[in-house]
Order: sequence, then C-alpha cells, then structure tokens
Amino acid sequence: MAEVQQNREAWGSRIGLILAMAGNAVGLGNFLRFPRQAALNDGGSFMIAYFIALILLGIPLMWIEWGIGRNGGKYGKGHIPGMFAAIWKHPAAKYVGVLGLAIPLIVLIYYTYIASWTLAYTFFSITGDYWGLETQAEMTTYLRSFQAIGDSTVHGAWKAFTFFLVTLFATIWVVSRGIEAGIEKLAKIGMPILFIFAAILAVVVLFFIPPQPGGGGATALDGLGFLFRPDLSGLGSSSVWLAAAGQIFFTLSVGMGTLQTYASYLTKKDDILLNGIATSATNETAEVVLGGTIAIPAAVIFFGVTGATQIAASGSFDLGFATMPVVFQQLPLGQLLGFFWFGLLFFAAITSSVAMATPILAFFREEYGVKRERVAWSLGLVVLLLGLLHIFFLAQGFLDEWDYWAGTFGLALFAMIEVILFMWVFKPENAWRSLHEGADIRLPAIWKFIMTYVTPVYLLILFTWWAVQDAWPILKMEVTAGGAQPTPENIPYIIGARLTMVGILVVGAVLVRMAWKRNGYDDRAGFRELDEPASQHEREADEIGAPD
Amino acid sequence: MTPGAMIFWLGSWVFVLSLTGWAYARVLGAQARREATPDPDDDMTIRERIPPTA
Repeated sequence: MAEVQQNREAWGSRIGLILAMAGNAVGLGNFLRFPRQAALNDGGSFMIAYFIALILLGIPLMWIEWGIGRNGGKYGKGHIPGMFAAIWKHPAAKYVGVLGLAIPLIVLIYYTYIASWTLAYTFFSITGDYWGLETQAEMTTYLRSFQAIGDSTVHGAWKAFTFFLVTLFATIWVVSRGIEAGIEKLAKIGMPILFIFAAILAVVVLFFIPPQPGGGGATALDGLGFLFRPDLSGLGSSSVWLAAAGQIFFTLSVGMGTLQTYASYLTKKDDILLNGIATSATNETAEVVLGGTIAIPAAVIFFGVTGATQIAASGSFDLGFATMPVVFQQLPLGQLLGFFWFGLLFFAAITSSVAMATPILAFFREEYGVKRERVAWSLGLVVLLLGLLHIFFLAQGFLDEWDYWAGTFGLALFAMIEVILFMWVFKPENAWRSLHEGADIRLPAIWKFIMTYVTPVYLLILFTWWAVQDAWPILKMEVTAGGAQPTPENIPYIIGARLTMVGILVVGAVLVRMAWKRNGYDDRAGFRELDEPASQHEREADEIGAPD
Repeated sequence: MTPGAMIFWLGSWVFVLSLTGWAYARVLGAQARREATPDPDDDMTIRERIPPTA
C-alpha cells in the first residue's frame, strides 16, 4: 500500500491563492477572444447573455471545481482520477477522470507554443523588428513566416523553435519549484504586472489616440459604442446566448482539471466560496474592463467599425498579432506599448500554462512517488517532443484539431461530467455542505437549486448544441476545426492529430490502472482521509507489505 | 457613442468593479478576523506546512 502523504504542499497566503487561481483563469481569451465575441454577437445582447451566464454557469462551475478539488485533497488526491474516485465509488470513476489528465496535458502542449509567440513579439516590439510593416497584410505575412519552420521570408528558420524552448523552460522551471515558491510567486509578480500593463494600454486607447484617417474619424468611444451597442434583437438568437455562455466557460478556465488541482491544496478550514467569487471577479475585471477597452476600440480608431468587424471575423490571432502591431507603429512610444501588449499576453499565457502542468505533477508525485523536479522536467520533455508536431504541422491544422477536441469540446464534456458527479452522484446535500466547510460567507439557498438543476441543464444544452452544430461536421471532416474545407493534403495530419490525442488518453488510462494496482486501492471502499488514522487491518497490511 | 451603448458600457464596468471590490473587501475582512482569532486546534490554515519530502 502506498505511503499516505501526510505533508502535502500548501498555498502561502490567501491573496497568493486568489492571484494564482485568477492567473489560471486569465489568459489570451480575456484580451483577444472576449472583444472578438462581443463585436461579432450584437454587443449589448451579448453582454446581457454574458452576465446571466456568469451567474448561472460560470460562478457555480467555479465553486463546484474548487469543491471537487478540496474534497480530493482530503485524501491526498490532487488529480482528477483520484478526485472522481473519491466522489463516485465505482471502478469506472478513475477512467472517466483520465480526461482531467489528458485535457490539461494536450492543451498545455499547444498553449505553450502560442505563449512563445507572445514572448517573441514582446522581444520584437523592443527591438522594433516589425517596424515598417504598417499594413494588416504585411503583419500577417510576418506572423506566418515566424510560425513556419524553414520559411525564412522574414525570420530566421528556427526563431519560433528557439522562443518555444525558452517559454517551455520558463514554464517548467516555475512548476518545478512547487506551489508556493513557483506558482504562487509567479502569480504575485505576474498578475500585478499584467494588470498594470493592461491599465496603461486601456488609458492610452481611451484618452491618447486621436481619430485616424483610416478609421473615418472614429474615436475610442465609438469603438466602445460598437462593442456595447444596445442591440437587444440578439437576445432572441440562440447563437448569441451560446456564444456568451461559451465565452464565460472558456474565460474562467473551467473544465480543464486545473482549478481542482489548485484547490486540492486547501483544507476544510479554508474558504472556497468567497475565494471563488474573488477569482471570478478578478477574471471579469481583466476581461470586461481591460480586455474590452484595448483591441477592438483601437481597431475601430484605425480601421473604422467595418474594418474592425472584418478583423474580428478573421480571428483572434490576427487581431492580437497583426492588427495591434499595426496600431502601435502609428503611436508615439509604440515600441513600449507593443512591449506592454505582448508582455501582458505573455503573463496571461504563462500563468495559465503552469496551471495546466499541475494535474500531471500531482498524479505522478502522489501515485508513483516521483519527486516534483523529476516529474516537471520529464513533462517538459514530453511537451517539447509533442510540441514539435504543432511547430511543424501548424499550417496543416494540427493545432486547430487539438484546440477543438481538447480545448473546446473536451472542456464542455468534462464540465458536464463533473457537475453531474458532484451535484447528483455526490448528492446536493453533501456538495452544499462540502462547499460551506470553512466558508466565510453563507450562500442563499437559491444557489443550491441553481447548482443542482440550472447549471447542469444549461451546460447540457450548450454541449448538445456544440456537439450537433460543430463537433459532428468536424468529426466527419465536412469542415476542419479551423473552419476551412479539408484538403487531401491536410486529412492525414487531421487524422494524425486525433490519433495522438486518443493515444494520450489510452496511455493515461493505463497509467491510472497501474497506479491503482500498485497502491492497492479498492474502488468500492474509497480512500482514507489524510488525517484519519489507519485501521488495524490497514496497519497489519502495511507491516506485511503490499505486493507490487 | 449612443446613450444606450453608454448605459451598457458603464453598467458592465459598474457591475464587474462592484463585484470585484465587494469580493476583495470581504476577503480582506474575513482574513483579518481569522488572523485575529486563530483556531487553537488548527495551525494548518493557508501558510507554510512541513515541506513535503518529495
């Protein structure tokens, strides 16, 4: 039988915990995806649907994930297979939980690559590397050349690879230092810097950019007026409600398995309800107040509402990596502003990346007794090797495929499963009591109804819609995950991307099975709490020695 | 910017910033209360624990 972990890591401070959780949530989506979604989905209608989804879906899911995590931590389980097995005493629970290992690993791999772009562009802003490329088309060519290994149109052939290595090293180094000395410290430094950079950019956009010829005289207020336009006709459109719910879902980083791992380092004397609200609110400040004030208003000033709409329609990366550099080149201190923009995106990305690594670390440390540093650097090697697939096959749709199945569909599927497990299998009374242990606030009873019935139904509708509308055509390859028509050249890469993900799931299931056997877990009996003394039977079994 | 857009924009900001301000004020208040009245049975709230061996 495995030695029960008596000394798990812990967060050093409450503010550090909240900043780390917020860092987990705040990502590129706050500054790129949100403004794009608001711009494309009827402005004011989107915001109404968005805040309703925050109340009925986002915050309840946040609480549920913290609750699952802390409950797992009682048994020394910082990973989803263990957390699910703690809730649902059935042999299948641990295998369903493999999603909570595979999804963060898959997303970590390609997200690290995207994070490396933000680091590279931070550097390029300081050096003025892209200065002189003053049109959207030129900056798009610059981006494509950077991303394509071997294409030295603009960049040296291996520049993207070098920045990927540096970003990956930084991520793994932080993770290897542990919860307090690594992740919490990064959050305490990175999150304030992120907010300061974003606030400076928001102030510059609001007050210091005059109307531009290309924008037809539009101002920042016109840009905000476009984003928040009071077009309530969109409330009658299911696509607006679904887009808003989807944005809430992704912006809070629920369905990933990472919030749960962070929460597993709390005890029943620590609050999770108030901390969960603070985390969500911090994310919303980054998104609505700051994210909504930078990219789209700036695009409207320089390109007009029509131009900004076209840019929004072309994608989040073009908005962030092509449009914004064009904007900065027209401004005084543009290189510094570019540094702030890509710098904040880098901190947003890396604070999320380190979170994605923690479920894997927890699993190998707790179930196989491997030291933290060894797991971290081994994980880095795995991310490096599998990351090469994205570096080499980006244009063939490899990243789009992983981003859809793991980072979109997988998140929704996982969130639906965990809500059902925590609120229905664990039972509402147990979930409610669990959430209130150590709480600094008492939730009105209506929230119990919301979490038991409204959130699961909302999520089920969302998931079913996405499955029918998007997943099925993508699965049948009628359209690629990137929204294009599949070509005979790309199909092998799409199939390869899917098979790699399936392979990761299979390896995860095998490792979980091996862990359960080596540690002698009984699926039906469940785990012993860390504080609970061993039974006489268990002490005798330990003395005899468990079989390998 | 139209008056309606102004209402949506400012309303969004007021909602988010109010929620954030309320949350952090409650967190700081709650934490101050906890530290003023430590639980004698528990010295393991959020702070450094015995470093794990792994």
